Amino acid sequence: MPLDDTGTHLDEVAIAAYLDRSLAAAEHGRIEAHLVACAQCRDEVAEVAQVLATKPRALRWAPLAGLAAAAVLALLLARPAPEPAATGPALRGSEPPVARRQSVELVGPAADQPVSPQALAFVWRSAGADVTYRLVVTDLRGDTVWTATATDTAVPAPTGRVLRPGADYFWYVDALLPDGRSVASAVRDLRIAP
Amino acid sequence: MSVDALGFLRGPPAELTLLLRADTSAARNGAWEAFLDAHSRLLLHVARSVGHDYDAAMDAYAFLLEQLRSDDFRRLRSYQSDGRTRFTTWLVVVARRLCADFARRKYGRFRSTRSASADDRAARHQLADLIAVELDDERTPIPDGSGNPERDLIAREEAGRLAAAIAQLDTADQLLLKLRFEDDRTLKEIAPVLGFASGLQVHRHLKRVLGRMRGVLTGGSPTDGAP
Repeated sequence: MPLDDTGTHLDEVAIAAYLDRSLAAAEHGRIEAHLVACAQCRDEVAEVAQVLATKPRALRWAPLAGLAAAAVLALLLARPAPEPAATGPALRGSEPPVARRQSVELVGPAADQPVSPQALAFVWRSAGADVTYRLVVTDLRGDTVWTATATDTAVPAPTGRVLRPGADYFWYVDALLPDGRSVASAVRDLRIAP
Repeated sequence: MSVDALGFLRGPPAELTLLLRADTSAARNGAWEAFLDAHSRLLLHVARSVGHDYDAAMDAYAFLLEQLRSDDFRRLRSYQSDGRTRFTTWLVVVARRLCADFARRKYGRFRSTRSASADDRAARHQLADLIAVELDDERTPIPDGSGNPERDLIAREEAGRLAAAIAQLDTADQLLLKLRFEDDRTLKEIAPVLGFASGLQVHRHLKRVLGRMRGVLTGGSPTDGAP
């Protein structure tokens, strides 16, 4: 488990990775166990989470001016910049300002209305032409339970007992647009009927 | 830098890559301006979250930029683009630590938003005691120093059972209880820590966990906390 110079507390990478939910389950569990025992690290994690949760939505996207400046610098540098950084598709963090931002609008199932697995179908409104969608269903902790990729705006429920009767989940849809940008839907509750 | 199946790019942002690769003074200055164009608002947001007032926040922000730029961007060079963290998340952690250091140097102390009562609660009560209060179980008297030996014995036994039950919870649920009852964090504050979408979801889950705890105290099967 990555600790800082004191050897007592979590380092910056551990805290960031924990909040990004990007760790393997075992490492995530070890860090979580440390947080249970360490009030100082727990306090820091909570404070960082609050900063991330309260930043204005416009902060999620780096202004295009920054990338444009970066692209100009790439041309001026003696050594060429790495291809993906300078000429690849736009980074996820480089969407246009808030006023022109697209999003994926979820249609059904409605939140807090239990739905039987047999009748379940995920439906959302189109985000445009030639868009690829990724549907994600998570448990209440945010751990992914099921994903599906589609070019249509509807996906049937998974087969088998992936979604348990009586259980609650979250679901959302990410969309990859033709120009390389990505947009996301809100997160919606999903209740499976007993 | 890698691309996943849906084309989502992973790796350091372009403005960071160019900043760290700039090999002339003019290029570094330009790259630094581009980096600030992309991230100054986030850094200012961090400084404001730590600063006591506007002036303190601005002082912290200036210190933060100075530290990020110092020693040929040493701190920014330490970012590992191995997919473990998003750059912005990592940057917030680093920036907040720098601002906290600044606050300690300038004001002699740094205090988070953790409620003032949380320190007192943590100092005076064990987690099991705090949860017993929450469960409001009449059969679980809280040690009150009244000198009643029988009451105190019952309280210690029940607290012991509850502590044992807490220890058997998975770490995420233990962390939830710590954040809620020992740190006095609101459900809305807890949600992003544990990956819940909202405080409402935390509330629902907490009810289930407390239901299991209530079941332990009654000695029967744990209830699920549902009404």
